[in-house]
Amino acid sequence: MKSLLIKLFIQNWQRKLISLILAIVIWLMINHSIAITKLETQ
Amino acid sequence: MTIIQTITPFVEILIIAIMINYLLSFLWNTRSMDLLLGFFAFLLILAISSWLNLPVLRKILILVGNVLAIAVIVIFQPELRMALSKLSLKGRKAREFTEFDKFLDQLANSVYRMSDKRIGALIALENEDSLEEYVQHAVPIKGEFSQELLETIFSPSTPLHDGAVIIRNGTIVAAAVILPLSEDPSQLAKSMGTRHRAGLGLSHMTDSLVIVVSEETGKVSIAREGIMTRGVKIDRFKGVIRSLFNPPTHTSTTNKFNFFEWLKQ
Repeated sequence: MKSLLIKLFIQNWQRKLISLILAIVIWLMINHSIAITKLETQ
Repeated sequence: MTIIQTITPFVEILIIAIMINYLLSFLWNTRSMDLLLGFFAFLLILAISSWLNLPVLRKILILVGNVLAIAVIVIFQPELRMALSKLSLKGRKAREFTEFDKFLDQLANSVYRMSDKRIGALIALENEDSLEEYVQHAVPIKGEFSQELLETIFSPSTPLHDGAVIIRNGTIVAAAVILPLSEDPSQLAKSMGTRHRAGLGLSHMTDSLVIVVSEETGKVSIAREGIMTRGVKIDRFKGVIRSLFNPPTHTSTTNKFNFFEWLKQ
């Protein structure tokens, strides 16, 4: 169990952090554009 | 319904993060990383321009981005190719197996070529017992194994040809190694010289496998656990080495976390 948690969060944490930040940025961007499209079609 | 709507963005972000993390694993610590960070910075500026409602900057970035998408494919072509090949269904085990096979083929070809040319050779393949004490008194090589390197070492005109070569995990660790001589006369025929005695001596004391190529007859012998097998043919040679050295892949899997085993507990 401990090894799984280490593998999930500690190993290569810099890469995981960058991935998470990027995922949030991409999600916000896409969500924003979806919202605009919805507004335009209404 | 509201709970699902609340959770959905987090699940989506998590899935996107996992995908990006997987893609980054191919490029992390490579020379392409700086370029990729530049690409991410570009993406960040694009996001900021959208939020701050800067339409001209956004339009320029989108136009540049279209060209950049093609440029990224061209620039990252080797990494993309590697990433696709890593998605292969064969998996890591199969790759390790072929790597070992490549080493074995090269070793067998090299040994039997020396046998044809009647070039004497003494090669020790390290197993679990360390041969470090012999390495310390020899000439360090620490070079990746190759047919050419091995044959060059045993070429009679070179200073390194007298003595043994120690191979550890596909690396030639040392050459001109002095091995302990065997005192057991039952395993040694009269035609066998010091090279065979040294090979047998090491196999008595450690679990390593020793390959001896006779200078006089050109015959290949294998010494293991104090027993010398003479006149070994190439197929048997490969079979013996494969049976002894191929299982390293199993040792690495034993320490891994097994989800199903954990569930059973």
